[in-house]
Amino acid sequence: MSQSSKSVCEQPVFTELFETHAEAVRNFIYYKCGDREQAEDVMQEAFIKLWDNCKKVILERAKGFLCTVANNLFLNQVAHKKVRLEYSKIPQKHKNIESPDYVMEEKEFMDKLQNAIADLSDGQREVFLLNRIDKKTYNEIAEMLDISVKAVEKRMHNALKQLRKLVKNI
Amino acid sequence: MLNDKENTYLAKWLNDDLSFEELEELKQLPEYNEYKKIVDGLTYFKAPPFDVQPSLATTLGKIYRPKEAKVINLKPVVYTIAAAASIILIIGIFFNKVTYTTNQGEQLAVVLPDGSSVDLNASSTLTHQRFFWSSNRKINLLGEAHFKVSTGTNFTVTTKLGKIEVLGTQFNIKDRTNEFIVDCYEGKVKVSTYDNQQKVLQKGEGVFLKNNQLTEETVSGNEPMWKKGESIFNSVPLKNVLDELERQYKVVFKRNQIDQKQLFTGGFNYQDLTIALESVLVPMGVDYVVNGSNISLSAQ
Repeated sequence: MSQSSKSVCEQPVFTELFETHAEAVRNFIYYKCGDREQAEDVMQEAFIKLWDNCKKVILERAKGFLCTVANNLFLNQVAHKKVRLEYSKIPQKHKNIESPDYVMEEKEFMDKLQNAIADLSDGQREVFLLNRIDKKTYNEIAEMLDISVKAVEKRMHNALKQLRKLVKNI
Repeated sequence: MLNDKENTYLAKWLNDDLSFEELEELKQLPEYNEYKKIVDGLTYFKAPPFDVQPSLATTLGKIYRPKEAKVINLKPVVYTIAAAASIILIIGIFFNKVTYTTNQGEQLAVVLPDGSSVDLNASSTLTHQRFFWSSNRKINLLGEAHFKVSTGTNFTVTTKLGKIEVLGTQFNIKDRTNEFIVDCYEGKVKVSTYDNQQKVLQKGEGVFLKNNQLTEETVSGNEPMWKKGESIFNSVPLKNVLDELERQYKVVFKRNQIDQKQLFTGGFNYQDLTIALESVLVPMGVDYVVNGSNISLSAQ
């Protein structure tokens, strides 16, 4: 494995890291805690820790370091809210049949789905949302969470199954 | 095939990893449409908006914010000082020294902790350890002194020019500038110089340093003449005699007009300056003018 000669201690490198990973780390925490402010704080804390430890962290490991630190920081903050993602608009599959009933039904479904996501276990939710919303591959998620790809697949599978159950029961 | 419990077919489906057959099988499942609906519905969700630049600015601001001044607790410093003080105290107890000093024209009789007695001649200094001295009898001497040593462990006198070791005896040491004389009046005395010359003296024997060589001499009497208030010299440079006069009487000689290398044999007493000056200077052919404590010398 070749090591990059760039050091995390150089500010341009650090800035680039921030621009590349900040949102992913913020979302990663957000999918756990559902609090935008808290997620933002944890993410910034993680970057500050990265800066403080810049001599010990090689560039290739920076992302993993950020995720691990962010995760630990999050675990230290016990309280967290329910995760409520906003949805942009109600899906409109068939533009021709925009009956008020249909709109109502779709609205109802989206609300149910929103609640169902909130009720997923933290582990399932973070993996599922990182994949579905942030479009992270299973490999990337495994790396971020420091778990195996197999475990990620398992969580994806169970998360979808669970969502279906929750949406149906509510 | 899809019913296998270990099979994460939904994860594969979401990742477009299913084979054609598996996909067809999945589509046959009654739940398929519900899964499809959920997955489609999820595409409308989004994470909260994120602005990189303001966030970066805040983070960098936190990194470069000057660190708050550290509060250093005073206590450890107090403990450190206390510890240092006790160490100094302990060292002080172990290394504390007793010093006896005589000025010009003074003599002093000292009794040491082991009962040995020392008579210090004028302008001399004697030091020894204050504590635990009796078990390790060591003395530093600058000047001239007569020792009567009680029997016991080794008794060592260290001077500028040599070291004197005895067990129990009487002896006199004269350690002045360029002059080193040890006279033994009783028992045995071992004299060693720092260039490793050694001499063991019996009663009535003495040594002095002549051109850095230990030279023997004979000693008469039971104690040094200075204790009777007299100094006796035997072929000694005039300079040393004048030094001794300065030590016994509070005077200073102006010597630049005379030859101090002439050898003097004779003596002077400590009672009367005029008689002492006469007895030393007249035989040497030196005139003197007394002016207070300053005495100017000139050749006749």
